[in-house]
Amino acid sequence: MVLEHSLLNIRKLDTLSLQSSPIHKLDPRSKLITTLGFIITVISFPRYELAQLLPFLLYPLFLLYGGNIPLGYLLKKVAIVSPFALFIAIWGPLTDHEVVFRLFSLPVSAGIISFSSIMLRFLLTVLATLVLIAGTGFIPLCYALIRLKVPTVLATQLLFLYRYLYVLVEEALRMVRAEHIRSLRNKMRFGTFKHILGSLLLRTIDRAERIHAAMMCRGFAGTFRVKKTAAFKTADLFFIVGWVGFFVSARIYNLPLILGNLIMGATA
Amino acid sequence: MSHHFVTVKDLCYRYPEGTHALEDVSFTVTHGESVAVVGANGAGKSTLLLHLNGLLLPTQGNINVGGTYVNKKTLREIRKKVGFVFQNPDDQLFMPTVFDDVAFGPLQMGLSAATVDTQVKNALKQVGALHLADRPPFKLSAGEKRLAAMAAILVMQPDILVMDEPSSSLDPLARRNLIRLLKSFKHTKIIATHDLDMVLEVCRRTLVLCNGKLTADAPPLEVFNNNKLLKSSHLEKPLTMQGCPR
Repeated sequence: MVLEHSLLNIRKLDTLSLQSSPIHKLDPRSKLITTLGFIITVISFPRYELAQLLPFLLYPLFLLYGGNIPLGYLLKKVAIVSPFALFIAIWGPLTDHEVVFRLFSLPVSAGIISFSSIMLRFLLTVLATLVLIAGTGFIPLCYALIRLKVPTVLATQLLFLYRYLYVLVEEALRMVRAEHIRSLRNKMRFGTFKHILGSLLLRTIDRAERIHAAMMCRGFAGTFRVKKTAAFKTADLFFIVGWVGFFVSARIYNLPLILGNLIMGATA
Repeated sequence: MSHHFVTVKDLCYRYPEGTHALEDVSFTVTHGESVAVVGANGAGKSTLLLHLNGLLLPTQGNINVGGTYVNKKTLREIRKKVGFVFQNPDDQLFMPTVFDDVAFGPLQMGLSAATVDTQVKNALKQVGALHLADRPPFKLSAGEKRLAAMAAILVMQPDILVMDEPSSSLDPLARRNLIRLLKSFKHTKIIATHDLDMVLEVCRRTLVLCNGKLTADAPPLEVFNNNKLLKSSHLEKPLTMQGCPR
């Protein structure tokens, strides 16, 4: 079934995160901080910027290569969420018709440029996030969040989301199967779907209460303590300083232009 | 030595909608006893268990655990003494890996990383589940989940173990292992169950609940030979006592 299949697909990210490459060996906190720096720099560019964004492709590609992560698999994931970005980006070409330059006599409007810029930023940020998860693992990232003093409520939400995803989907699957064997039709009616969704919510609330009780039984008093696993090493320092330094200089200086000038200068 | 007792006195519990779940239930469980709580579905077994570590508080009456009365102020202390193994291990194993889950309790108590590590490993060894340490709970079988949930409670070093249907949904071998494990525990045990054959093997005493009332408090054999009591409580003789032809 579709649901089962997509669940297995999610778990593939886990399998990838269990490798032991130099990237995987870095402290999750340093990867988290660097990726955050990356995302902030990428979205800080003005709306019509395109060329200056290109050097930023280096970071996700570096992680992909160093972490031995297949690009194709992640690109499929990027494609799944792309409609959200497309919906926002599409307003550029629809509203902004001012022609900026001509490419092989085809007019290129400002709208087209902002569209490309948004889509490139989307690709960069989502790809970097996925590589971060594939190269670290979801759980170590949650622990890193807790150790970086991110509000516990947020981090535990993520932990529980991950832990109970399977339980929830299995529960939904059982209900959908029960509906299928008795409804004698291939497609579910909206009315039935509504009820299944409703009882899924009620069951989830019940379960949440039982889980909370189980936590209380074991001394939970609001603070979520986790074991300290990874330690911050020199490699982590180099990783953060090196990459953040690169992001800042790529933000300030137009690296493609400088590189182009250098090449032109060398050939001239 | 003798602080591992539980005394329940005149316990009444009414659910908010008005159902009388428990009425005037009184009994004392002494150090090292294993007591079974049996009865029909909805007789009040789970409700009774939930009172033993303060997940529900009595409408009337009181519960004394090793000299401490269960009330809002003593909850933390009570929950250290009383380990509660839930019926559905999925509700109890909420952490990403078995190791993390067993470590949850000790970490909340603020123990050092090294201590937590040895305690978790000891608890897992005790239930024979050390090899499961790094596995995520969703990849465990029902039997393995049960063992992990047991270890997560044992690691807290409780005086009293309270278990809700520990042998439900286990395959025969996993059930056999569980019975062996339960027999090896020195704790005071209170077990709610429908598995009457397990009661014969593990428990020395049986409490029968019927519509929220305690109708019998006697050794298992005595209860299981009382046909009238069995019938009125929706029970029947354990299979091993039915003289099955071979």
